[in-house]
Amino acid sequence: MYRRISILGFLLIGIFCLTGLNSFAERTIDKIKYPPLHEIIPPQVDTLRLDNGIKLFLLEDHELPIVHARVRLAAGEFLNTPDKAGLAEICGTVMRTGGTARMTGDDIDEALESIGAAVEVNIGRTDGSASMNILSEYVDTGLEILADVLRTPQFNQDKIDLAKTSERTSISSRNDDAFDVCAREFRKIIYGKDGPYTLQTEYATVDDITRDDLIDFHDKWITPQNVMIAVWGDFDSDEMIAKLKKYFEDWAPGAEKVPMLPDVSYEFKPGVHYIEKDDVTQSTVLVGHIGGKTGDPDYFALTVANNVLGGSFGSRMFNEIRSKKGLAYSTGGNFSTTIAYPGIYYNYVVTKLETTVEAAKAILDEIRRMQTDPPTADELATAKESYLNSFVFNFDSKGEIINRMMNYDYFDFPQDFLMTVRENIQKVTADDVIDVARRRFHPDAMQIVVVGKADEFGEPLSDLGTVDTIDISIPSGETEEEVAINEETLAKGMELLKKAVKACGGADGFAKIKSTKSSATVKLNTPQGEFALETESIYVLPDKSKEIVTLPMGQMITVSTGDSGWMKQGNQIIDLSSDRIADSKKENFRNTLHLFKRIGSPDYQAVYVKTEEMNGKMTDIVKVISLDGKMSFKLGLDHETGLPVSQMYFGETMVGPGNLTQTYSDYRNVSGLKIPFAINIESDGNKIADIIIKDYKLNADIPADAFNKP
Amino acid sequence: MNQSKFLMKLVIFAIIMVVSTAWAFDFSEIEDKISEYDLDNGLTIIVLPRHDAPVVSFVTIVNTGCADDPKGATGIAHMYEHMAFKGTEEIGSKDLKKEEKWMAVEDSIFQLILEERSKGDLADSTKLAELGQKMAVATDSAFSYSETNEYGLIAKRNGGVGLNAGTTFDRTAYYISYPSNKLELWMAMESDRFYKPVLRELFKEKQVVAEERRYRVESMPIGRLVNEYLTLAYKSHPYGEPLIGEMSEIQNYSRPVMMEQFKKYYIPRNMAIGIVGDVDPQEVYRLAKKYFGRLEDKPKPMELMIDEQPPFGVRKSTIIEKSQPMCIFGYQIPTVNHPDWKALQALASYLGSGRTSVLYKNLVKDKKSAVEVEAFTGYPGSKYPSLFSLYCMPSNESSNSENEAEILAEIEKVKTEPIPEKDLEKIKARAKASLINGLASNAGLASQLATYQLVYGDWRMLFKELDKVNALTTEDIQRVAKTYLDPEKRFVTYIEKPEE
Repeated sequence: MYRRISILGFLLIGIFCLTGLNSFAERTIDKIKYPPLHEIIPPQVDTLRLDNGIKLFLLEDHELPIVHARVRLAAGEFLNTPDKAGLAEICGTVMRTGGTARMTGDDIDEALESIGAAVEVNIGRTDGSASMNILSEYVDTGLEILADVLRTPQFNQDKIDLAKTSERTSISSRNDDAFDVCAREFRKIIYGKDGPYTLQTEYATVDDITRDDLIDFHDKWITPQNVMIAVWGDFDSDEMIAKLKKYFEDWAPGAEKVPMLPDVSYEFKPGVHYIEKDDVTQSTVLVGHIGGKTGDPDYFALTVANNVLGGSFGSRMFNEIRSKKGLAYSTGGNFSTTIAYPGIYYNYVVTKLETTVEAAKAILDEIRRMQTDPPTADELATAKESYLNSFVFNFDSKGEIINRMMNYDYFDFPQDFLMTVRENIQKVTADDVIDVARRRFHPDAMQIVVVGKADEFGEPLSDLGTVDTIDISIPSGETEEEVAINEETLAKGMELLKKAVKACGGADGFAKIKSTKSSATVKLNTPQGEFALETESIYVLPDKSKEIVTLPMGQMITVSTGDSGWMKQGNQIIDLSSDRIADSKKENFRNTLHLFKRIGSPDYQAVYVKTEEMNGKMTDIVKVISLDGKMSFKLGLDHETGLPVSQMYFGETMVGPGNLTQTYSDYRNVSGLKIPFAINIESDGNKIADIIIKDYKLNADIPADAFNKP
Repeated sequence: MNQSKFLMKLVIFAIIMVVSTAWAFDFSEIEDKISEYDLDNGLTIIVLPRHDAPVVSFVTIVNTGCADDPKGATGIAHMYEHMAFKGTEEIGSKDLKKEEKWMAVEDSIFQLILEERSKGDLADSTKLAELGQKMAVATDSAFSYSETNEYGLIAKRNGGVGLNAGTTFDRTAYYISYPSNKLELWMAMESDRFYKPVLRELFKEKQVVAEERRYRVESMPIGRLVNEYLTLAYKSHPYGEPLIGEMSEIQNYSRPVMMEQFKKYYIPRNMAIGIVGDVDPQEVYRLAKKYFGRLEDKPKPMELMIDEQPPFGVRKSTIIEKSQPMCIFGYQIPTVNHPDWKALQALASYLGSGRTSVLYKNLVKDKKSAVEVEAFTGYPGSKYPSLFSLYCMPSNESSNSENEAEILAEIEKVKTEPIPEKDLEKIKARAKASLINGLASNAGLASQLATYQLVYGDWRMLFKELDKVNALTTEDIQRVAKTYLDPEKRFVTYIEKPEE
């Protein structure tokens, strides 16, 4: 008996060694037997419709004395037109901040904060919401404010201006984050630019939004038939219905119902798109095509397939691209769906520049492999389990439940949808996964968007296909004033320019200039206050310049030599970005000395615009345009003397691009030429800087290596 | 005349009575459902059943934080928190024996590295470079046997969400939520990580923490300002050390020092667990005894007894850099357990919490002399004597010193005249809203229960918070302003632009 047991024991140990994938005996956690999960019993939500069309959803919860409300607004940016992109969003913001018929925005802030309550309004691309969170004893105050911001917003101009400033700041920083850029451009490729789902706010569109626009948008789309209200928390349903009727039932219905979200027509075709971003050490790569709708019959198999392929921990992309090949920390994918319109199927990887193309290829390989290698039992189990085991968290908050219900109701989507998902996911087999991958993933028709720095890619991007480069530079919103360009205005423009050259010392004098060297005190006016800097500048015509600025922590040196340049601060030396180089070229173009030197054989046009009074003096305005038309600025010349008194151009200010004006004064004689020793720079009436030249030399000795990188 | 005055007083009294009773909320319904279990080894578990959905949130709080860091190893409590996700003897390894062997090699090479580093300027850089290379081999070898991220993966596969942790000076907390039938999985994994942790991938993870430090402290002006402020305010007490640790000390973390810290502080008597959700308290107790009962009972470590002396005068430090001017100044105040704590919190709320506070209204909205202004207590911690702090960012029309003077003037006003009653009512209302909102989520409530158990020795104090707030009078607030906010004994730090 003893021997048999020991042989049996020996055999058992042997079996463990053969089948065990790890060298452990069964772990503690593997021995646990879990009871079945308790049934999910969704709470009972009452619904009713008011006479004016508003549908209400109510759910009592007396555990804590709080009341929450969320108003679903059917309106979104998708109702807007590209020329006023941002209108819906700003309307939402100012509905809350701009005051109501009863209270100013600041008074609302005060009233809410003093009771620890919140009311917010927000309108996005496809819909919007107004929310309320308040202790139950103040619910009337909250509901009144909520109703007011929806029904009688005043759109106070100062709050509109504030919202626009905020929007402009967003625009100016929209290219800061590589992933944001990649995702945004990817969306545009899938859904089409300037479409209802891809309207992009620009400085010009924000400028064009008027107070009347906001009022019209509100009056047309924020109306009872386009509004649904969910309330949950500590209240008695009958009392709450009475209150909601009091605040909302006499709201007159509008004229129109918000149309359903438009469909998307998509053509499957491959594409490779490149966006240059030169301040990154990693590339962001997105690979994908159109996704599907949530009600799609393939939804269940797709969810499982996606989890196998790119659903984070344990997925194929995670294992291959991250763990095995070490190409990335961040990688994954999602076949995203929405109820009303198709979502986007995307896979992403963030990898060092060198391995950009390798990583993109690895993604494509994995997608193809999904069509040939069925998931193993383990893979299938993991993919289903991650979904099924955390499924219950769809029901862990009353707010989540009631809002989902409201949303499904809006789209006439079956309320028990989630429960069918659970059953159907459980049924998905390995064959289903292969089948859906073959039918719905199209690795030969993938759109690829890469944000990075191509000259550091290990392999060329063209290995993936013909590359289309996307320019993400933010349009300046500069409004082009109509300037008549004809024989007459060209002749007069050049005449005035020649007069200016003569007034400043004559063409011969300017022709002799090879270089300038100067030092100045610059008084900068910043939001933080005024402060003064000392600068030294060297300029070797036609296009080499060096600027040394003395800062408290040392010098900052900027050198531009035409198509390249560098900057040094402390021990750091960096190359100038392509944006900076482009700016440098524009600055060079505007250099009056350089302009005057070329008067003999000008490579620009000078167009007379008009004569008007500026700073109390009659001034002739001449527009100078580069021959390719890409650069221009205006010169203001004193009508009597011909001396340049000002220069107007479009450039960078402290708050984004804007119109700048330089004014010249304190003209002094330097080697027979007249040079202004005081320059004032302002933008839209705001002072930016005063430059006071201390020393100015023409044709000084400049060492040959002055512009070399240290 | 006397009659009408008397009537007015009666009316006001009635209003206050009505208002006061409105503040009260009966928490006894929730309180009565809570069960507390104290295991033999001293671990306290607090359980609240909530059966709305079959989910449960778990929060484990250990009564140790960066204030307990040993000298030369600042930030080690935070580092340990990172390590706690690396697994155990059973989770996270492809071959424990091989892994442990290579980890032992890592440890001995690192010991040699530390010895050489400790020679300072006399250290042999060639030797260090060689040791560095050997270290890299050992680290890579050890890593090849680790099943990286297995702990998190198992949690996720089983439906876990919200896997997270946080370290402050006072405490360290670990969070996760599961579908409620996975109760035993949590018991096994959570107890195991405190029973037989394995500090794998330490040397790789140190670099992750170094990056975190660069991001949080070094590259943001506010990070530098706060660092300077705490250094001024605490010259003896560890609250003056950076939470994330000094960079050089991060590089010197070793396993033996970490394990020593762990063994001293991660003991059942020094922990509390909050569990809120769809559970049966008796079942929780049974499983807790089975799994957490394995943890060895050890004596609770003593709290620090390092008294920070009051300053003799105003300690000031100015950082000169070309960035936005800002100022933080503050005063010494007692701990969270002191009777004056609530009044000090209320005073901070009155002075500078939100857009309806006195400093915001005066400086930001009316005078426009500041762009931001805030008052707060409890930073950097409150287990030990804390600080009452004021922060401001002057507008370009003003300056740090002007803002400082304006704020001091407002503080003096509070000392001479009690604050208006209606403002006290607002403070009470905000406190109530805040407390109640904090109880809404399972995870939030679990965290509160465990925290109060550690801070006050009794989770029931959570439900007495409002009573304490309601009992405050305007005289209390005036009194604490006079007692603690002495303008001649303060710590002041500025960021200023360089002189022209």
